[in-house]
Amino acid sequence: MTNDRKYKFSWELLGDIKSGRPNLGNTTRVEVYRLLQFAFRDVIEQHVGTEETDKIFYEAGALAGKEFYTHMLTPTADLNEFVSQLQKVLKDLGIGILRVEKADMEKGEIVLTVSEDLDCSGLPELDYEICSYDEGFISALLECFSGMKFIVKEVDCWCPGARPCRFSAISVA
Amino acid sequence: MTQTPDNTSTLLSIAVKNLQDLLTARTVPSEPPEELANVAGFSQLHSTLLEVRTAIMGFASGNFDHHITKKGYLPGSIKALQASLYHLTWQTKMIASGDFTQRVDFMGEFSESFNSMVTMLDKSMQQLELMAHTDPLTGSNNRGYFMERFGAELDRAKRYESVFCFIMLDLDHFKSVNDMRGHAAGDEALRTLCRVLNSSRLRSADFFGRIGGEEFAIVLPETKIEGAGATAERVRENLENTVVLHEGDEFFITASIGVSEYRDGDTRESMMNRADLAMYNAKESGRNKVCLEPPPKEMGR
Repeated sequence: MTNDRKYKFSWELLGDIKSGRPNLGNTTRVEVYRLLQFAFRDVIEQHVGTEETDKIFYEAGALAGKEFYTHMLTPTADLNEFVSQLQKVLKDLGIGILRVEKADMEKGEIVLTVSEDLDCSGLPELDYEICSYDEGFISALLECFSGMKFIVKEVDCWCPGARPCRFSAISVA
Repeated sequence: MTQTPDNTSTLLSIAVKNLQDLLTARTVPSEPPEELANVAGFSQLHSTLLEVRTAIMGFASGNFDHHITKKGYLPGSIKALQASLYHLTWQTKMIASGDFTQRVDFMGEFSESFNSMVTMLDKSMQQLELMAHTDPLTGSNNRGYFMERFGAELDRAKRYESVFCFIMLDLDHFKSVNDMRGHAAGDEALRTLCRVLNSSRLRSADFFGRIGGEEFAIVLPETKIEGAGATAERVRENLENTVVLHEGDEFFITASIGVSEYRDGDTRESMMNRADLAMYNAKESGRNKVCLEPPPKEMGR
């Protein structure tokens, strides 16, 4: 892959929404976000298969998580402070309600839940976990905070209602 | 099996009894009744209700760890409660470790009570901390806390190769005040000195404390000895001109003051010793004076 890729991400690509959307502002409906994501998911799966699609969404989530940490959070070494900041910004932006169930940074093990999740809350009940983008997003946030690499797996995805998605994060050497 | 109306009625009765037992009986079999084994969906319904029942019974006895595998609204709701309780447990641990920013927002009236408790704990801890750092008579930093901050300033000066000064201040003839006017008047004299220190235009980074009976000390970060001498002189002059009022009695107090400046290799003790020597020079030369420590080259002459 060449270095002068057409779609290389930069935060500036998000644009100056204030001046670009003086009447409509910077919010849209959740359905619109989901329409985009599930359309991508469908088409990408047809091109590269299910496994690769999940991998792509995980990696895209990780890229977004890294950028999000850089631009939306203040670096801190304190876990409580990190969680507190993240809870606030995720709630303020309508992304989800984050709660920590367990956290042992020495062992590199964290279990957290996200309720009213932007990606999946209210979806019809499915037989599989769907938040691969969230998995990557959370892994990057944890890596940026701790300096350790994390593998994040969604262990419960409760699509219907406001029940939380549960993510297990384990650090890897 | 051909189902006659009688047969259907019997199966229905067995099903109702089984479901009722799942909701009300103390113990239930882990498998559905044999007669219903071939009824579509009944085994699934039985095992779902059994899992929900087991989880709820676990919650009732304080065990939140039951792993819920079933999907659907009811198991999901229990799982949401489980997640909330896990998070509450984590929050409680955080509070126990001193993080009083935690607030609960998902447990109705309990949340309000819990959050009030955390607020009270926070206030109590702040009060305890203040009490642990404060001299009860004068409201200034006590010796322990002052020395802690003094040590931190010393470390900072070493790390950044910066300069700071230490001032030792001792009230003159304090014993006479106590002997002649009583201990309450002596206490008022000490409080007056603190008021003078607070109104002597010290900077926000400067700090002082009561380190002995009538001995006070001041630390002036980022200050050379000439500047510290000027500050000490201002304090001395303000004190000299401030009347002590006690039960209709009026009198004046003065202080002798010594100043030392940080040097490479200094410890708290070495800086205090030099300021102490300078302060005794002030006493020896007539009291109500400020004496600076001699420059290093003159030491030992």
